[in-house]
Amino acid sequence: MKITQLDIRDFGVFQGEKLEGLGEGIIVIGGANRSGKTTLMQIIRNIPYGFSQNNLPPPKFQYDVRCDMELEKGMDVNILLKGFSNPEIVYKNNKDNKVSKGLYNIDKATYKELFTISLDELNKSSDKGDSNLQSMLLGAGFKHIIKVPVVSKQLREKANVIGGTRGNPSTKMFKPFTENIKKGVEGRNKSIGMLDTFVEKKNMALKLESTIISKEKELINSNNNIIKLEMLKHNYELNENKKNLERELLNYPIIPGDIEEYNIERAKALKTQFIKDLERYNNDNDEFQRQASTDNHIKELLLENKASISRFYNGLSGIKEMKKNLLIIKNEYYDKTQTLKSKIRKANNNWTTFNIVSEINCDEIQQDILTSNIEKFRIIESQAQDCNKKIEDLNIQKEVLEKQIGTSEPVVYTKRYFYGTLSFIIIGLMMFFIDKLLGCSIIIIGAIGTTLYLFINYSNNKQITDKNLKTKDGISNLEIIIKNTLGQLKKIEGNSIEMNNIMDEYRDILKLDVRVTTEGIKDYFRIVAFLKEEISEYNLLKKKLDNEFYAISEYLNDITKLLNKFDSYTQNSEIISLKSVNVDNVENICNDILLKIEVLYKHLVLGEKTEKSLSKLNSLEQEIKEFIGSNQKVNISREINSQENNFGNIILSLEEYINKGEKHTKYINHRNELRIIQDKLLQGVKSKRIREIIYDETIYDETIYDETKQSVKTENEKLLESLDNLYGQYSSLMELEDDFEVLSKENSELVKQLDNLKNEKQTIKDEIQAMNSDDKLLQYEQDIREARSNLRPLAERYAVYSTAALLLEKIRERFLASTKDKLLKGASDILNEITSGEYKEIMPMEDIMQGDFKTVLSDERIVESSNGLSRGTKEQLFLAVRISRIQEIHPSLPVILDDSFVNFDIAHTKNTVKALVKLSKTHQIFVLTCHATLVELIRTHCSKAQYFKLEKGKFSKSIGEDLQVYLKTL
Amino acid sequence: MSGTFRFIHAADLHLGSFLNINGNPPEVIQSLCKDAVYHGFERLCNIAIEYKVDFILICGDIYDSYLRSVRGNRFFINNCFRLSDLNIGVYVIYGNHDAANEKQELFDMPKNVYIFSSDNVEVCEIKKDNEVIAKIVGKSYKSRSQREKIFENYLLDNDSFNIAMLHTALEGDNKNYVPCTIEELKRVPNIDYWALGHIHKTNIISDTKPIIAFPGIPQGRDMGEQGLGGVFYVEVCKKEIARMEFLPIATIIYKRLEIIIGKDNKIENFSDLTGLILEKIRELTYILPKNSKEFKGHILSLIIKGRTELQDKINYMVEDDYKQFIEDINEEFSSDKYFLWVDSLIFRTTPLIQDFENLKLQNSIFQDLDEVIRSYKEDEDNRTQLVKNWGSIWKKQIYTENVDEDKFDFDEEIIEDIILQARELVIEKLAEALEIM
Repeated sequence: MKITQLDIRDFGVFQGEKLEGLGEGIIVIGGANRSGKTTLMQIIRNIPYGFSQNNLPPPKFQYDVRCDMELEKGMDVNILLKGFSNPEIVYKNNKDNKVSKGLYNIDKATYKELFTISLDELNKSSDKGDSNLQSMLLGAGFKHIIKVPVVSKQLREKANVIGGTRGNPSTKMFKPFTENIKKGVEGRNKSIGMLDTFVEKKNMALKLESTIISKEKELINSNNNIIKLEMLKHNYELNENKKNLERELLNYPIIPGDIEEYNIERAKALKTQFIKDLERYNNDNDEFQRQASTDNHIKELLLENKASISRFYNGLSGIKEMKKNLLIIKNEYYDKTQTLKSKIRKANNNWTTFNIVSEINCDEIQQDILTSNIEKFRIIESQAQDCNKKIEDLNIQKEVLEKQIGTSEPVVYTKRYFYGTLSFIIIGLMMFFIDKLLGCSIIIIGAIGTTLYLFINYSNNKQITDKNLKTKDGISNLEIIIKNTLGQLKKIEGNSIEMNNIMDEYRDILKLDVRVTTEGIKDYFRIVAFLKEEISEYNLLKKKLDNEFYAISEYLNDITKLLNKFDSYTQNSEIISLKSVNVDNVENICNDILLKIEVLYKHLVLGEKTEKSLSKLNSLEQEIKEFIGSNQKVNISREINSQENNFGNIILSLEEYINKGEKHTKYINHRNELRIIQDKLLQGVKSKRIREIIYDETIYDETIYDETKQSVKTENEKLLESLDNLYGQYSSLMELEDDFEVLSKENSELVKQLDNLKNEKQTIKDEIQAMNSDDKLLQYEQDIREARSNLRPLAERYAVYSTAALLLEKIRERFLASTKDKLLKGASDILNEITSGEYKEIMPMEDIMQGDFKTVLSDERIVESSNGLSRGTKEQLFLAVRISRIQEIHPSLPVILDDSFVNFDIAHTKNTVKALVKLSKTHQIFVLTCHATLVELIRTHCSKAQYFKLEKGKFSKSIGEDLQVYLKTL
Repeated sequence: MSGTFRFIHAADLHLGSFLNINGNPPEVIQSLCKDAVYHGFERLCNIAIEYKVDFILICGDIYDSYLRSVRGNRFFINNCFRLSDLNIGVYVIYGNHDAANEKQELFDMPKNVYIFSSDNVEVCEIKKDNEVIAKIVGKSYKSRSQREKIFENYLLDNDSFNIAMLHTALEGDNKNYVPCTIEELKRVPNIDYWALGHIHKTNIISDTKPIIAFPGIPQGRDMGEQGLGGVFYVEVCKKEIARMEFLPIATIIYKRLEIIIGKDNKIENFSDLTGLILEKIRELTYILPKNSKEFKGHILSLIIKGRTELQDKINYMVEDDYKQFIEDINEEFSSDKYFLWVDSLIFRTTPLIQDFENLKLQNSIFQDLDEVIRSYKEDEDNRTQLVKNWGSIWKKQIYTENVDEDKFDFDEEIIEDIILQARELVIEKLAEALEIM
């Protein structure tokens, strides 16, 4: 591929310049510094890619470069570069424009770095001693590969941050999620693992259930035994007592036919009673004998006359009362006699004895008549007085009236009127003459006034006259009344005389003086009546006194008769005589008799008491005999020698009875005690549970033949018998307690076992329950999924980073592998040629990326590093590598060298030119230079080379010689 | 009609597992996802009852090996009891997830359930009106892997409709899950219907006699199990298949939605981008699956591709920004009848100005990059080297029933994706380092 024409219309120093007729091989463009060589290189560099905005010389208006190229296949191409736009490429003789494909088939950077070789670029390597290889590679297009490992490393690091070097799930950022997953998986496996045992657990649960049931049964048995032993232990002492009692009872002789019940209390009560009664009897008997007599006859006599003595004794209070009454009546009688006598005397001296008074016949005078007569008498007297007084008053009234009568004269008034009127008429007439009206008025007024005056006076006068007439009538009436009153008075006086006579009669009857007034008659009448009553009462009193005395005398007489009966037995008894008895001495005699009666009664009482005690004693004795006889055949048929003996025997029999009874009671008590103990024992075993336990026990123990026997027994007996059997198994309490201890231990062991079993069962049940729910399992799964979904993007990122890094590494690897051989082989040849065989080979380092090359000298020595080479040799090494690389790239592209060999000596420059001439066979080479020597060398070795002179941006075609000369002149 | 019978061919129930959903969806959706697999089986039984089938075939993986639970076991049995009441048989072979040695039934199976032995190939005769109408041959997995070609012993006479149950990956070189090829299966004589299981994607391998089919998983559980899952309903009349129909079971569908930002889409900011995404998602709602009555919704994974000037901003998005972006999208669909839940969002976009061809012209290193990438894509050894380079967190998971949870499986697609991302990264970094751009 070659550039045939270059038309630079606007680019930096070039303005409308043309390079025409460019051929193959070397094209030398010579010019001074700043003539435009580097600008030309920049144009050629960018032809297939267009201009970019960095570090290019500015255009005048707009970059405008046109280029004609001939492709190797003989195909022409026109390229238009305008401004910064992409090149417009027109393929001639070709219908399908492959504009998009690009002209050079390599990228801009590679072309720039590889085909356009300036001294600066070659120098870069030698300036930075430690980056030789880098420079060389830059020069050879490896620039990008250098950066690849950096990027790749960065990506690897990023991946490492996520998952470490190996992407192990359990490292770095993966770790927390992986741990969660593991936890979840563990939980899930555990849950599922539990499931494997589900059936097993179900069976285990069933088995455990049956074991628990059997153990529970065992426990019930054990508990029963413990209860039984506890009961036995608890009642052990009781049972011992029971045994002792039974033994004692066996020793008690039970007499056949012996009464079963002893009434000891009653026997004791009877005994006490008997002794008490006996004592009382003895006391009573002694008392009687001491007070009354030792003689039994007296007692008998007393008892015989018991009724009369009692009667008299009971009547004692009566007779005493009688005696007292007699005394009172007697005193009253005497008092009354005195009082009455003085009263009569005081009343009237005319009355001297009781008889006078008694003779007055009060019955003749009826009290009410007397009283009415006296009242009548008094009324008449007062009426007479009233009449007299009335007459007097009437007379005085009459006189007064008579004086009141006055005179009256009507004529007087008439006269006065006449004169009055007349006087007015006269005055009026007089005035008439003076004044008619006045005169007439006076006449009229005068006449009228006088008339009025006269009329009033006349009226008064008339009233007085009427009054006088009435007074005269009153006087006449008074006179008539006076006359009547005088008539009444005469009548009253007649009655008064009659009443005085009646009053006198009364005085006679009452044997009074005449001087006694009517009022006095009435009082005397009352006194007489009173005295007469008093006297009659007095008489009655006297009669009563006589009666009392008689009665008491009779009573005393009877008593005396009784007393006389006993007098024959008493030596010093006085005979009481009643003949001399009177009212005044009866009291003393009575007292004596009564005293005697009292003594007699006292004796009677004592006798009776003795008799009563004896009979009571006898009845008690009878009762005792009956009591003893009916209860027991106590020997009471001893001979009764005397009453005392008899009583003694009774007491003895009772005591014998009591003794026996007490013994019997003791037996009964023992028996009861036994029964109580048995009851207590039964109480202990009577609860349903214990009974069942004991029966269970005995069923095992009992033999068959016992069953029939048992059926007859009562339940209690059966229980007691079972208890006996149970106690029979233990010889002592200690043995029992030992057994209990052992059983308790077994029991607690059993309880523990049962507890464990139950716990185990519950655990299994819980496990089964837990297995029924899959919530936990699902939760685990959910956790796993969540962790996985969080982990997934990390894994993906890790994979992406790793893949990206891998891709880059692969690119680098591929690149290096493919280029190493091609590059170094060609380069070795070229270097060999340039150095005239001094350096015959370039060898790669172990790592081509390490940044260095080995070089092999002609004597087979190896320079391990390019650092060991001279600057010129190093630049030759780079040039050799570049040329080799250029040869590798097809199609062959134009090469541009911008004074690149200044550091080479003449021999090496010559060799280099030779190498370039070789290269020019396949490549168009632009050599830009200001050195005449180089032009000379090219002229020598290459005949086909074209020459152009460049002067301040202007090209001119030249020949080698001229150019050489021109450059020399610079 | 005499000799007519119906059956359902199902596989890979994976009872116990639940639907994978990212983000923080409303409780209703969470609950749906939690029980979707169970509900799937329940619906399967309902369909069996509704279609009055004679029996159901379950070709392995009733349970999920990771999530075996009493609940799952009980659920299966309870539903089988339901079928038992209607005299519907259930024929089961165990697969790699529920291999005979690995698991134990926790409860007694109802009488209508027949589980094929893992020791020998067994044949079951299906009788109707005292006449054998069909024979089912099968063998359960003994352990998690079944290396033998057990189907070679599936020997039956040609006197009835013969069904062969097999849990296989249908890969000739797969040593774990019954190595076999379609041809090998076709060579087994007298089989009318190959009821396969293990592959979770619905696939009718052969629609002519013998029919070979994978029903797939009835209810997908993650983005790896996209699409509408279901079972095959088959009606056989006089030894011939009269009708074969795919009945959808899944109520929730996983879908990866690729949204490409084209030249016509004017995306100048994130609201424009959101608008585009919403529009594309909305398009999904126009097409409802067959079982729309029971259908609940979609769970989506969005991949945004294409060139956009937003690339710089996208590059600077952190996790919270992603979350917020997804939340905003989900918010838009929160009141829809059928839910639409975006559970992940991936940007595979490139910047507008980047012109790789141009770059290649500027620097041959980019050309080298393309060549290197090509070598990784085409060369198996290089690919192996590439994946090794991803670290031990990436591991080819051979046993699907026993994966390393802390490691990630990869496939061609993932490799492609990672390479693509790495390429973008390399270009970016190189351009930066070489001061191009």
